[in-house]
Amino acid sequence: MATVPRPGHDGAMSDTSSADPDGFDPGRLRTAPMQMRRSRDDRYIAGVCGGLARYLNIDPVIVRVIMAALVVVGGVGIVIYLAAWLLAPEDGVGESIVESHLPRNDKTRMLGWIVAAVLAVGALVGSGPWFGWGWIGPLPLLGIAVLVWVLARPRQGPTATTAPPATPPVPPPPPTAAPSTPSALGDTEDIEDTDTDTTLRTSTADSDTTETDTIADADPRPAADSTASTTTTTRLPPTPPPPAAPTAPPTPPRPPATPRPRNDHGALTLLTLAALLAVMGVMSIVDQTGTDIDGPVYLAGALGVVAAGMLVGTWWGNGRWLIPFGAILTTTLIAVSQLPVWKTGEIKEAPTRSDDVLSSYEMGVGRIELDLTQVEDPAALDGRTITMDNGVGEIDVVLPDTLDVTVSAELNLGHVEILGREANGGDASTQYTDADDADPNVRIEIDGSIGNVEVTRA
Amino acid sequence: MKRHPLDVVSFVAGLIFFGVFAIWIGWKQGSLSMDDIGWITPSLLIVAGLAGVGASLRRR
Repeated sequence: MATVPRPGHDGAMSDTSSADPDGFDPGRLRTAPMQMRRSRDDRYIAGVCGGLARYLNIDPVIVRVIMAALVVVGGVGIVIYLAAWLLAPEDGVGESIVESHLPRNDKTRMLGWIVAAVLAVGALVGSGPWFGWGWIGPLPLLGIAVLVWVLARPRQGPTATTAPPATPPVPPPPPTAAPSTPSALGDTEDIEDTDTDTTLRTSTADSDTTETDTIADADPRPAADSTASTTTTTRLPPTPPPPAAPTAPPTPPRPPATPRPRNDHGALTLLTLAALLAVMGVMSIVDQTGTDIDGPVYLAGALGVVAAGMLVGTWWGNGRWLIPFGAILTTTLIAVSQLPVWKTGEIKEAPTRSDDVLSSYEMGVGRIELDLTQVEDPAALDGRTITMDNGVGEIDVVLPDTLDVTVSAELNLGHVEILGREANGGDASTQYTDADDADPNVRIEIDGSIGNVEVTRA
Repeated sequence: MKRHPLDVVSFVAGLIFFGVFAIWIGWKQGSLSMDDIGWITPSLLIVAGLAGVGASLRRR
């Protein structure tokens, strides 16, 4: 991998002028962030490694290997690479990507590196035991990558993105100018538009001659002005530009043709909602054919489709109509996820044998009622733990006198009453332990989001 | 549907919704604990916010 020939870049003065051909100078590590340039010739992604290697006067392979290693270590390499991508100017370019988007300031690059350093340390600390993040770990970094991509994109596409809005205004004037000019002459006096000035001038120049006859014999009022201009044109045929110039300002009748690039007549919204229906249908079929799909999964699926539609709307069509759908789905999904199970209704049990007492009772929205007074062999319950989860609703437990209990109840919002001990309001948690004696002891763990919990003795 | 200049509103909202979706899937699969979500959600907002700021600046 050949290092880049230095004389090729006359614009890249900072990192070439002081380059020492004799080899690696550790001191340059310190100045590299502020001085290096991204290589244009020796690059795989953005020329960061190539440029850094050139600045440090070492083999790019070394830099690339170290960078790759840092990527694995909590994604630090990604942060550094992206930071350099944004902060280091490319060969032959005066300013970095960030500097081209922000007001010119000497401090910009330094600030950028400080932010990058904080992010890198955050990534390192956050990754804890290196792979503690699991597969989700790179997600925030992925987000940063998206940001970099968004910022870096205009490099290729400034003309592509800005050209469409600029061009549409040009075609409209010729057709509208001819029929509407006489009426528009009066009310649009001096609208300035530098973009379309030249095109308008030409269009009015050739429509001028045709209009003057119609104005002359149809409308008496503007006749005074127009005859003046017609007389000048007829008298001085060799100089047509002067009369065209005064008539140019009042003509721009562009308003109705305002470009609305995002207007897709609801196409993206309909497309997304249709896709949503299809996805729901597929999930429903899967649900029917064995694999159980809970309600929240439907919601999540719908949210995924809506999110995808909106991301498409970032560049194609209008995705904004999907925001309310996304907002509703998000809220509902979060609310529904608070429920321990996707189930509504009532569980009402009064087991007669200790074997019939389950170790866990779960309800999404509804009521759980457990009556232990009918159990014939309460001694067999000794040492057991019963958990009861109810998302929204009521939990009632009735205990026999012969059974000692240790109860811990946690409720996010509501009323808890355990054998006379009460808690109310938000975060209502209560512990209760019977005095230790010969009776068999059962542990009951109650968990709920909103509702009412009651444990009583018969 | 024609390609148009970046729509920051769609972009940021889409990013957030997609993030919620991804986090939920992770949580459902058991890959994410509530502690994880505690810091992933704020970082999602930070990323979406920064992306929005960046995209807005870019349009200038």
